[in-house]
Amino acid sequence: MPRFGIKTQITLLSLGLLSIPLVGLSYWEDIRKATLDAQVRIQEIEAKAIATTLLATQQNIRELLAADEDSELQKHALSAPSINQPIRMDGLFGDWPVQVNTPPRFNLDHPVWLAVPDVQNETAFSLRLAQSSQHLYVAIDVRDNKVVFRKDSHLRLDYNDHIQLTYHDESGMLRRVILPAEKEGALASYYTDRQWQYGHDIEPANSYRKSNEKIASHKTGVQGYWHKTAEGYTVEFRLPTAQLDTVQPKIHFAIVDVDDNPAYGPQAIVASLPKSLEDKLNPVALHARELQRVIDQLKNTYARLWIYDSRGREWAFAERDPQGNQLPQNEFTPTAFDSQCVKDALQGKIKPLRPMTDNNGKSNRLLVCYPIIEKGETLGVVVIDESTNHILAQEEARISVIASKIGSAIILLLFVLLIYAFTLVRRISRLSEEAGKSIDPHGRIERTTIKASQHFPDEIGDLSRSITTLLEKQHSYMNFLERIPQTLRHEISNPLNKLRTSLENLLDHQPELADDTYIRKIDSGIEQISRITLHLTEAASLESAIQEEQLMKIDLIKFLDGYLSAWGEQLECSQWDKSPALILGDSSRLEQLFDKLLDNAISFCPENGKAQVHVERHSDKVTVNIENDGPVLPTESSVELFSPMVSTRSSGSSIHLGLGLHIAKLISDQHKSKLSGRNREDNSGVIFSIEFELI
Amino acid sequence: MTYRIAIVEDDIDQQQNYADALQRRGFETQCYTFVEEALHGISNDQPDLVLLDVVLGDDSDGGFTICRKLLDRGDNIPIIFLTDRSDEIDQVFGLRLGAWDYQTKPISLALLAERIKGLLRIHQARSVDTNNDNSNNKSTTANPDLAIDEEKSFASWHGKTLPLTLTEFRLLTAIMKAGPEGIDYNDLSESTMQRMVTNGTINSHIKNIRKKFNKLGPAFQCIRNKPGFGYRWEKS
Repeated sequence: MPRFGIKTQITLLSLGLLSIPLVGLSYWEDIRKATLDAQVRIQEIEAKAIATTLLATQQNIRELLAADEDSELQKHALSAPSINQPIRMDGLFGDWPVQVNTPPRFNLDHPVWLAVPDVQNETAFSLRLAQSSQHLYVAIDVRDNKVVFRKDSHLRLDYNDHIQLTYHDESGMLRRVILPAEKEGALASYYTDRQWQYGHDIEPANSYRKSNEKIASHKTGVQGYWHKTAEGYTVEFRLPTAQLDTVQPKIHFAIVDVDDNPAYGPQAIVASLPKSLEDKLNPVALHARELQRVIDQLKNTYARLWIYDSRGREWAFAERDPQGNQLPQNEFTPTAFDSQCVKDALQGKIKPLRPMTDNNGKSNRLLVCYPIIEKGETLGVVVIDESTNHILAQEEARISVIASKIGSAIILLLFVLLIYAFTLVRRISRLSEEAGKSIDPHGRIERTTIKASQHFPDEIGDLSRSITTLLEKQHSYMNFLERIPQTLRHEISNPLNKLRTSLENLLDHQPELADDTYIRKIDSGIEQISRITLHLTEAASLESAIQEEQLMKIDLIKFLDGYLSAWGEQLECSQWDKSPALILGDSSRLEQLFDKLLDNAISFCPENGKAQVHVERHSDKVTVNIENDGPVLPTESSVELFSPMVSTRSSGSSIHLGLGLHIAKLISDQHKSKLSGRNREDNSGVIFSIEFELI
Repeated sequence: MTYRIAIVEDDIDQQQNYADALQRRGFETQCYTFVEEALHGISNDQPDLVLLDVVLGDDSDGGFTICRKLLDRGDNIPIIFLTDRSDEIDQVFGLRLGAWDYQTKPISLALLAERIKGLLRIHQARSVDTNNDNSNNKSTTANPDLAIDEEKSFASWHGKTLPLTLTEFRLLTAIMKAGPEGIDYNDLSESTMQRMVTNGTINSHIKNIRKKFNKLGPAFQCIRNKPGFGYRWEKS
């Protein structure tokens, strides 16, 4: 089974905290929906309020928005979309709004004058219009295969290529402005008369204020640029909308192509209206100042606001600072009239919520359209456009703050949890390590106090204290077990002494009893018990005795030669390298150790069998193997083999207290050697090995 | 001369056995069971030797108490501890108190009587020596650095007294007498005049003897172990 540490477990569990942001995210979706719903209602109310206000405050609303009676003329109405950024007057049209990239083009379909009828003339022009809150922007691209500039010597303005601009001023008076081709650069413009020949000073529109003053012919208010092109020329200029009639705004353009001898008159005149309507001007939808004032008050409230009349003319437009719009970039120039929302509203349907979607199908705009209805007739529509991003920006900002706080709290909590987990694991590890070290490999308790987490008032502290209590109890029990031999010896000694001295006195009184069988058996029994107590004493006192003994440098090979020779015929020793093998040891203890091992080996030998001793030399150690034929060990566990009072084999009548191997193990440990017991591979006997480290 | 032996033993049967055995061998005995009784009796009728059990009734160190008090008041009486407390620490403690010997049960009454006789003989010899002068020590060893007076159980190393117990003295004497050929464990066991002496016990005694030699002069290496056999004396 794979191991999952507490650190891993807590880390994985801590990851569950990440579900909090997920819950928060779903909550955010709810908030987002509710916010957008609320915004839609607000926009709807606002649009309704604007529509109502317009109806209530603008007495001439019908006059403003009502359809023009001349339906033929309306076909030639010019569109002037709103722009949100000024256009540079440089004769180049790259900065014009996208939706006027395909401007209406006028050519000989609209001829006003042709010097030579039926002769192909390529004179044509395209016309772009746009309006801001202050100006009407005009861009005219003229195709003229021969551009004739005005000469300095010419007083007349019509001896060269020029453009005739006609419009109704703010007071409804017809104004004529001629835009001659003078030079590359700033556009010249002049008020002119009906003949379009000379500059003509005019009366100001509000002449009642300055009745004695005239406006000089060149102060037309037109600002622009004349630019020569390969195909002709372009003119880009702007005219203050304040000079225009915004109730029934009308404007007319005519391109006059002058070639060769100007005295002969123009080659062609192409106008923005066909000849059948040459006394008319093109209607153009300019923002009505009254309506514009109303929605200008709200221009910082919503991204965009429009007022359209029923024909789709834009009568007012307001836009928030473009930097704050957060509207899709592809809508460079705003328009809403084409939307289904406006169409529905103009039909009297109020379907306020028209969420616009982006390319990914995600709602990014809220478009609310509310009809302006008077006496059952739909005069126009109020459109409020807002970006969902803008609406949600504040909410998102708040949510972001909350999310970042929650995120920080979660990270902090995770961090704290991980630190806590590591602390716990470290405490448990230390506890485990200390508990492990409290018992030696042979199961003896080396220390009874666990210091790790001992003073912590928690479960690990309880565990530590429990282990300490357990160790103390176990140690006490082990002490009891270890003292059993000594206790037994103490308890047996007195009655045994009583028996022995009584028997001795009895034999002194009655020497003839010395040959009595039962007396001999009693004597033998006492002798046996005496030996048992002696062994018990030896084992009990050995452990404390060897702790104080110091080991000395001795030659193990020399020791073994002398020692083993004393065993005579009882052993079978193989030959081994006789060169010195120095170890740290105590010869008398080694003697005691080998006595125990050899006694043990011989006692388990079959009749007439011999124990065998082999010495293996290695570079850094010497191993002494003591083998005997006979019964095998039931276990090769060192804990069981060398524990006191444990006898693993039965050998008939001999006394086996299980102390011999225990004593051997104690002495082996004293010499830092490794004592082990194992059965032969063929189970024909037993091998005890003791491995000494050379110095 | 009849020697009087004080027996302090709380087990009446053992006490009686000791008394019977010693009386049969010509000793007079006076038996005590408890500490105060023993101290009082020994003060009033001073014996020639005291046999002391350590545990007396409920007093687990009663024997040690008697020994200390007797020796504190200047009674120069040989004391033998005869006890079931066989721990080395008890033996060391008892001998340091000034006891002449420390025997653990079970014992052989015959050997006990012999030990008593030996101790009395030594005591007498030392008393005579104290009354006369200290010039009659009989050295039984040819080793010029080691002087052994068997009669007084006295040994000195480089002229300094070796504070040996009686058993240690006997073992040293046996090894000395065996010389370089050595003496085996059986003979060493017999020389201790104790029953049930294992090789380990003899090794412990030899360690103690070496320690005492080394206290008088370092690098004592005259007592050499013959592994599996016993010990031998090798001139330094």
